Amino acid sequence: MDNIIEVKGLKKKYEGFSLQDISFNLKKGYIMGFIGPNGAGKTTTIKLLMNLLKKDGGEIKIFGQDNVRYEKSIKDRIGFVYDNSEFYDELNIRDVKRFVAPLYSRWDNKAFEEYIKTFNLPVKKKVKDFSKGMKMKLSLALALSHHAELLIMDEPTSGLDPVFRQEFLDIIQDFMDESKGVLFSSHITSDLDKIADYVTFINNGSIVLTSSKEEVMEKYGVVKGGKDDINDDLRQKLIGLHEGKFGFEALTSDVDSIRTRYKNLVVERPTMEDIMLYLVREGKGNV
Amino acid sequence: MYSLILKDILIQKKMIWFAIGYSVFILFSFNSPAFADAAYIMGAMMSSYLFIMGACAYEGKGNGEMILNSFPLRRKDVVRSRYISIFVFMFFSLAVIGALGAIMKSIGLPYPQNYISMSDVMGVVASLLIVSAIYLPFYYKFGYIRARVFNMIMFLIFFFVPTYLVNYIKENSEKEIVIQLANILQTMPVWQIVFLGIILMLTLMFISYLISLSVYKKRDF
Repeated sequence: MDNIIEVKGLKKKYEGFSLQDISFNLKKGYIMGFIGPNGAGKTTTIKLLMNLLKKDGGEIKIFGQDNVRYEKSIKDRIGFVYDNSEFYDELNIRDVKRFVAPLYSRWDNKAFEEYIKTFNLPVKKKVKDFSKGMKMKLSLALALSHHAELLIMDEPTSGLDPVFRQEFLDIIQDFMDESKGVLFSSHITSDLDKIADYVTFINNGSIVLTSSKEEVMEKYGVVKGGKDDINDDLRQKLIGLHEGKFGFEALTSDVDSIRTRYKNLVVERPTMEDIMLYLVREGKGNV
Repeated sequence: MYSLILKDILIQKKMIWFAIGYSVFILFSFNSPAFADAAYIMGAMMSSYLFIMGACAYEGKGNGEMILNSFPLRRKDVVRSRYISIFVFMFFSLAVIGALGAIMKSIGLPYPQNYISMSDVMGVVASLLIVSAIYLPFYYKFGYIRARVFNMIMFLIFFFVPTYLVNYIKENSEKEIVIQLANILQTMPVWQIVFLGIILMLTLMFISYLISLSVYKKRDF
């Protein structure tokens, strides 16, 4: 079993929004960035993985097992971090531990105490008086203290300052080894540039692309040129074309052909943000 | 499951002190002959009710249910432990007010006039179980916020229906059915009535639990 997560043909319908035919895999040993604009379906997909929503169709396997049938034993091996954790508000860390520890079969008290110390979290203060960063640290400590093999995180870095965001990414990288996996949703793509091995990009409830980050970076390029350089042939190769007063900028998945045929254009290596921006602008039709 | 019941208690540590204070207050203030009999029932009912609502409100806040159901728990565990925690809160409230009443009486305070009686206990158990058995399926179906309206209605019903019923029986004491019922109850030994009551309550709770479970299993968070 190489895949920690396997999603096939997943569907969920709401009024005014639907997830259509979502399929992707996360292999053991890798971090997957799950990106897309707000409202694209990232949280819905994550909730379906966690069996918090009932799916309308498709298949979800985690650790090779059906996520509904083996819900309890699967969740025992998952650490989750969501973008807010009001749930613990009335408790202090000691009480949170008293509640959470018995829920996991492999709870590691020593690891938890270590994280609390490293993160400098106050033990007696109520969680509701914590800052956003401290709350996130607590969720992370809980997620990492029961020998989880998969971390599922929904927008964990939103609202965090850059210093803690970096710290957070370092911790995730420390957590990784060849038997584990991380699914990390975010619209802050620079975080994923730093740590993701795979990228799944979702927009309007459909998967736009899912592949290794390197492949994506090689496949796409940001093309820049003067206004006069644009012709119909080139236009067809461009995604999310933006024309300014003096020139244009666009994404392309035809990097080689543009480089050979249009020598006067500049083709740069994209960032994840470029890719997301241009693809969304194009409305995913021209991918 | 132990963990979930513990959580219901941990989040309401302050309420424990409130329940104690409230019980003393009720025992002192319900001292007129008309109310004295109801002091224990009122005190224990109210404090259990606040505990149960407190626990439900806490889970319904923000993404509480989303986090709760992300732990390695089955929805069955979540629902079952809430039903058990009702008993915990109920017995705690009864124990607190019973003990306080006994202490107050034994140190010679003028109130309360009596110790807590078996019928006080049965009254609290019966009314709380009926309210909870009806409330919880709505709570699990609609969540705390939307079930709040129902909760208010229930509370009002509970204050007025018993009075209405007692009046109805008094006014219709000549009617065949009332006489027959009274005869049956009078000829039955007390233990049989209590036993029958307990069986009825537990059946009601069990049916309520099955409904709650089936609606909660279908809930999206």
